[in-house]
Amino acid sequence: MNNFVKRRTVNSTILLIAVLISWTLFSILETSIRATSFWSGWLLFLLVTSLALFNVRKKLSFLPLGTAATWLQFHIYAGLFSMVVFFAHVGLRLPTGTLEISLSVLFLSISASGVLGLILSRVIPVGLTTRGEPVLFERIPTLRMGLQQEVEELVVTCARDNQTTTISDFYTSRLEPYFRVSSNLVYHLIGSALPIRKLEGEIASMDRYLNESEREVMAEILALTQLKDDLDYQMARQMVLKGWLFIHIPLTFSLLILLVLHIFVVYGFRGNLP
Amino acid sequence: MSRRLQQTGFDRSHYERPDREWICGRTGHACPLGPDNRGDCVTTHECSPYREGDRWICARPSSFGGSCTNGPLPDGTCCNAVPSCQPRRSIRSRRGRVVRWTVVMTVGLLALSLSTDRGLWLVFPGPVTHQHGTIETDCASCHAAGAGGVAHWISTAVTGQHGASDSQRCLECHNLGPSGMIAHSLPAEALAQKTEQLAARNLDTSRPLRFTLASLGPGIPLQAQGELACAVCHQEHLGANHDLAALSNNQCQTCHLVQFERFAEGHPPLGMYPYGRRTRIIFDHKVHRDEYFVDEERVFSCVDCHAPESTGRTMTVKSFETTCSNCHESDVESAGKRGIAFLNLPGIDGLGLRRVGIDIGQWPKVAKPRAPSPFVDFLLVGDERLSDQDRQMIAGIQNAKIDGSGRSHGDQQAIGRYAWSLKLLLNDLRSSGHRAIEARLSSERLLGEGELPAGLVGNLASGLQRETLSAAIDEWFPNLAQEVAVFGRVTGNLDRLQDMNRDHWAAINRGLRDLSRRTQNSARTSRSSASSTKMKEEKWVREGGWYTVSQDASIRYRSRGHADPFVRAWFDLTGTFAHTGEPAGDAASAAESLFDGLRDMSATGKCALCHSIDPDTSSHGPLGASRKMNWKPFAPEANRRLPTEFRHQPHFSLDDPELCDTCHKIRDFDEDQFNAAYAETELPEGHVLNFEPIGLSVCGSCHTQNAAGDDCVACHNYHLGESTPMYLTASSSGHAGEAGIDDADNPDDEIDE
Repeated sequence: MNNFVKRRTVNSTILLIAVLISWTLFSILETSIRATSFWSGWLLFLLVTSLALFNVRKKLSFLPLGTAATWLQFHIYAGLFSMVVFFAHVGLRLPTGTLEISLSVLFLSISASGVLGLILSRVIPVGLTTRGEPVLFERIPTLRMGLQQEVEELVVTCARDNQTTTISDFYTSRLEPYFRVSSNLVYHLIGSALPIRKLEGEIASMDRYLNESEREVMAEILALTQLKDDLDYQMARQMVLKGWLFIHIPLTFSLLILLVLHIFVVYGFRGNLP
Repeated sequence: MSRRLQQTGFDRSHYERPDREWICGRTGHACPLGPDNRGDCVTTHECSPYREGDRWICARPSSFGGSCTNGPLPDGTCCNAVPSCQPRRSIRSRRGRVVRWTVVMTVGLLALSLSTDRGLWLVFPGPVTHQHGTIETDCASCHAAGAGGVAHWISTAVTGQHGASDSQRCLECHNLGPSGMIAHSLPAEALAQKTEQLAARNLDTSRPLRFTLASLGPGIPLQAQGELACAVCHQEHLGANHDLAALSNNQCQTCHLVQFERFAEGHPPLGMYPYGRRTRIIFDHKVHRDEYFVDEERVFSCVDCHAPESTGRTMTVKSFETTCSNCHESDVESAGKRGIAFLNLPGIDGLGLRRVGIDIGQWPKVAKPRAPSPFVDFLLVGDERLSDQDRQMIAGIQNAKIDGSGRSHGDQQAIGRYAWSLKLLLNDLRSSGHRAIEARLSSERLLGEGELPAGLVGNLASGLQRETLSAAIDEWFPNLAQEVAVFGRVTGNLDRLQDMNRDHWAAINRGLRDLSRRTQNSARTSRSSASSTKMKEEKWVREGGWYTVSQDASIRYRSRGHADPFVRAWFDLTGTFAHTGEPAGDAASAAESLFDGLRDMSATGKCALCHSIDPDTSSHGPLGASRKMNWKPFAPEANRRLPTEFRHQPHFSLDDPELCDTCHKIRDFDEDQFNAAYAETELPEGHVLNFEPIGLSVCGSCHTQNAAGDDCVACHNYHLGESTPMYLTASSSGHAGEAGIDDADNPDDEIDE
């Protein structure tokens, strides 16, 4: 059993035990006609708060608060546990009040984005290592620009040496927009190679208009075009890896604010419930 | 193998700083230093040369091309100036900005919403049930915290000061009685008594695991004085169609002594339910089915006599006219054909008494010597001046003429005093009519400090006409008013008739002789008139009513049929007087005598044939518990909630030709057992006569979790006792009056078998 499987087994077991214990406690409370929602609510609040602390931990990297990997594992399994507690808290019914609807939508959105992020963080890195060269996300614009400059240099040299504008015209009309920005991101996300196949077809169709020297240049341009496509693939996938946090984290703070209001409302209007 | 795009050597690879807030704006030519923390471009040259001795050395990093060819300028400045850029935010910084804006927007929207008049709209948790729909927008109707706006409920949440509890606000509309917030709305003593009763049944108290675990928890959320907040069970704001009364079986059972998994497995036996007591109407189902109906060639059908009440909950007995009258109307009419003597005269030998100096004036000759009627005896108790000894002595002389021979002078005087007291009563009745009856019954000797029930007097003298009364009295005592006047003049200053002495009797004798001389002629006329009207009146009043019988000097009443108000009123009055009255005299025995006379099977109406009599153990008097005639069969009180309620109507959909027989199987029993159950000494509870007890399996065959359901609340109510409905229902208007008559003392879930 490798470490990954072992870790997942241990953590899943702990999660299952936590679910069973909480289910038992809630059953006991419900049987005792206690307001289960008070207890599940406080547990949920503590879980959400501790989950949000992961973001704080990342900012306080200088403090000895455990490794980020440990925090991530806690974040994943505590997040899954919080979803169980959430449904124990609200029951299997649709919320009706404005605040309740907001809270539920926020929690479910955060949970869904978290689960999505977890899946993406497990799936995408594998794809990143199997296609093209794994590059740092921040370097992609620079690398893309480098490729564009290489292509432009080839085009200019070819035009000067062969006194023809066939390749330069093709570059201006078709390749320059392709190299200028990251392209076909959506196609890369869904794993489609249609755009690059089409471009390769267009480059191949230029063959009849080129002389031998130009054909050699065009072959180099084709290789650079494929490198750019790999770069776009990296860009698209890494952008998604970073992009889901733009939903997950801001909504978490909104949720925390509404949770505090919710607690005030509950305690203000609980009447003489013990 | 494709070529590599990145330079990964330490001296060839650019150092990226994604955690910085700002990054260089020159794509592809980013400077190694990057912008400062405020986002300003601070790079002016490609490097910052350093000095070695007297030379300036280029410091451009290897990753940016290494030392340049031209080298630094003489003043030490880099020769490659870099145009300033427009730094960009890093991805992390942009995410942080989104977070901050989200927080600002969230807080701003909340503050904006809560600061308006309709701030509570934001925190409104959802629609209330349709029953509460009219108060949905008024938070303060149910919540103390809702009375003062946002600041108020926030401070309430912080301080925990709720003022009047929310539950009290519930009870302002939902009247559950003084113990509304106690478990089952029962006083603590009553609840403890119920628990004791259950414990005495030695039921299986082993409990499922979840209840054992629950017992380890924080327990029932009781408040001070053992109260339970309404919201413990009734969850609002869960939608217009939410069932506010929904309660899980676990929640019901958690307080109970007996806890079990399912209704079919572990529910305590039904015991005698629903036959908690003998039927109020004495009805032998078995003999009616097997003999009477067979003889009459009629079909014995349950629904001929029983029908569900308006809520479909309880089966009630149809009216007498619908059910029993076919056979029993004649019983009512024929019983006591001669009626019952309301006023009669005992046979007293007036002449004999006069000879020994006791002058009672005129006294008619009665054909058959007889004791005064129980009505007379009872009404004479109301004469404050007549002693109980005098009255009881005369009442005890049965079927013999009352004369003075062989009696002591004291007894002779007692007879005289009794005769005059009776004359006073008759004179009062003649002159004041119904008011005289009321005055006698309201006397301190009879009622003590109590009061007659409103409207009772009307029935006690139901239909008694002045002409009937006057004609009879005038026939018996033509000079009654004058004689009473003489008696009054002589004894008016006496508090007790026992204080009368020889002088008083002599004065009465003188006065009466004077009167006799004056009225001799008119008396003769009156006698001849009386003799001319002598007739068989009881035949004339075949349909019931008042009539006089001159032969035995009595005014009689014959029942008008079923539910005769006169008979019923006297039953009700004397049933209570006989046992609960606390008068100075002996009203109890007089009332007892009258009650027993009315319940006799030969008495007019023959009421006691079918109407059972219950002792009221809560009301004791000199002769024991008060007695109450059950005039009506069981009828549920519309506003009274019982612990267990079987709803008959939903079960009628079951396709079973012998549907009623499924639960109500007529059992075999002998007549002695039946009669013994109705003995006066027997309490009504604890008798299962007509039907077999219902087994749990009868219900359990259908009421499982996956079939007809086995929720506790399907059969049981939580809030017990009287409750005032919030809105008028068919049941709340229809039966309350009827049920109040005979079931007010039935707090249990037991109905007539």
